[in-house]
Amino acid sequence: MDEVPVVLETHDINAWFGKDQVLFNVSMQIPKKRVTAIMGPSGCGKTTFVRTLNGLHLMTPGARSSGTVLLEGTDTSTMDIVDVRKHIGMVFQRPNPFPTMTVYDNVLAGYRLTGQRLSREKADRIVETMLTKVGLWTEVQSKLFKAGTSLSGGQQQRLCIARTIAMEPDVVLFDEPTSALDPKSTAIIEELLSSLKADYSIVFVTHGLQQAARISDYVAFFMTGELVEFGETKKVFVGPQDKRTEDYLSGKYG
Amino acid sequence: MRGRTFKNALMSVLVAAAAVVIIAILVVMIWHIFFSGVRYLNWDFFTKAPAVFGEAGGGVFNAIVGSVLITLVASALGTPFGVFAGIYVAEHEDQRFASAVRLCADALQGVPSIVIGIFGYTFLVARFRSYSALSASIALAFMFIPTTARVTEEVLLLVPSSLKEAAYALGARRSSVVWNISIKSAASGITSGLLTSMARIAGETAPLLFTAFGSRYIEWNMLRPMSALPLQIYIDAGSPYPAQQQQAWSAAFVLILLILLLQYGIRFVISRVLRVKA
Repeated sequence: MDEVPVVLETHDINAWFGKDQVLFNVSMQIPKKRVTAIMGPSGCGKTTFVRTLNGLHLMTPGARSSGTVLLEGTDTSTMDIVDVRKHIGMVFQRPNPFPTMTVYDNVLAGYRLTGQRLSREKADRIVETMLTKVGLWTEVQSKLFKAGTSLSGGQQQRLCIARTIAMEPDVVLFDEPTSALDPKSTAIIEELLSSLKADYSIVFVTHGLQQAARISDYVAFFMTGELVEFGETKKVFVGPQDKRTEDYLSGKYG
Repeated sequence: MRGRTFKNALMSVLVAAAAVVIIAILVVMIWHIFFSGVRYLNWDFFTKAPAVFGEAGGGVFNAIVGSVLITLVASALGTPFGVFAGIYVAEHEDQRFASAVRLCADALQGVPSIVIGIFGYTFLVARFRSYSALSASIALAFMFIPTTARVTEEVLLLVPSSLKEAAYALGARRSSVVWNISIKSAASGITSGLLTSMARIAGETAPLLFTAFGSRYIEWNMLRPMSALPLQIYIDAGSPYPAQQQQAWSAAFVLILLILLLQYGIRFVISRVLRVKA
């Protein structure tokens, strides 16, 4: 951990939905260009945690949070939320390409929605590069101008990943990106996550132990809104320091 | 066991009877209007102004022009207010002012059309000392706004929040999300809402009695009294002359065609166009 630079750092994150507190003093350092898994039983606050990182948590009516998030050392609360989200992209649990846009426009959605104009050549280049990165180019080359929602579920999710990395973020948050997909699509996305860490810092939420073990370099274990344990995946899986982590890893609660 | 079979049969009969009654009313009405009206339809009917009372011949071109003009102007006046109010309420669901707007829209929807007519008479006709098609359009706009606002709100709330979140996560600002995601996704719903509201006001009679007043001449000037199909039907059907009474049936037939066309025909075409674009 010591040698790897930190991209994202949180200090004492607390989060509430109305009166229910769902996160308690979460302080964590997310290593740069590595895959960090956030795992834990359902309702442990792992999704809420990643949503506090890009300010999406506060968009839920009645939601509050406290604490600081540092992006490359800068307090994100002092930044424009639009800039924060440009640096910290997010892929959701269910594939959600924009139904009113074509495959082509879905890749460029971030530019279109933030009012950035692109020349035709640049737009074409971004679409091809990003779809190639997510391994979709050869599959959808002939369907570029069909609706994004006409693709299969797994393809839609990769389209959503392309749309996110098209904005050249530093960090990409994945909220259980494979939980709505079949095993084959899941395998493709897992492989993709491992290859993306060459360019991006990956944070992904999962409730699957095996998935965390397969693809993450670091793992954080959450329970009832607390960060119980954080460390290199190999070390945590082989010798958990906390009794609760050990119980979870041995399948005592799911 | 027999009791249950009996109950089942009884309920089936009741449900079927209710369905038959509804369909029968509609069929009888359209059937009657069709056969009473279609007989007197001819080229003159669509192209000429009414004949002198008591005489046969002439047409309702003045009323067709009036209905189209008054409805279009009322819709043009009402659309921005209705659509923007709907967007506002949908986007500020949790705010008190939004609930107040929604409550007012519901209340306005419940105001009897005759009251809207008197209102138009008092504030427009009496003030400017003239019956006019424009005052009719303004009165009808007040019936158009609440229905449009409610439909707009409802279709906007149907846009999945996952799409809005995806847009926010890409760094989009709220205005961009509302315009590019919510409104574009709900465009066909909003359009059919507008058409339904148009169809509704096209058939209104009471507000026109006090505002457009009616005219036996072909009138294009919105500042002068003008006829409209419902108004023409009201006047002709109440006249003692058989020629006018027959024309009232024909006008009723044309009005129903116009409304059905607005409600289903144009909606069908527009949904096709929007789908092709998407």
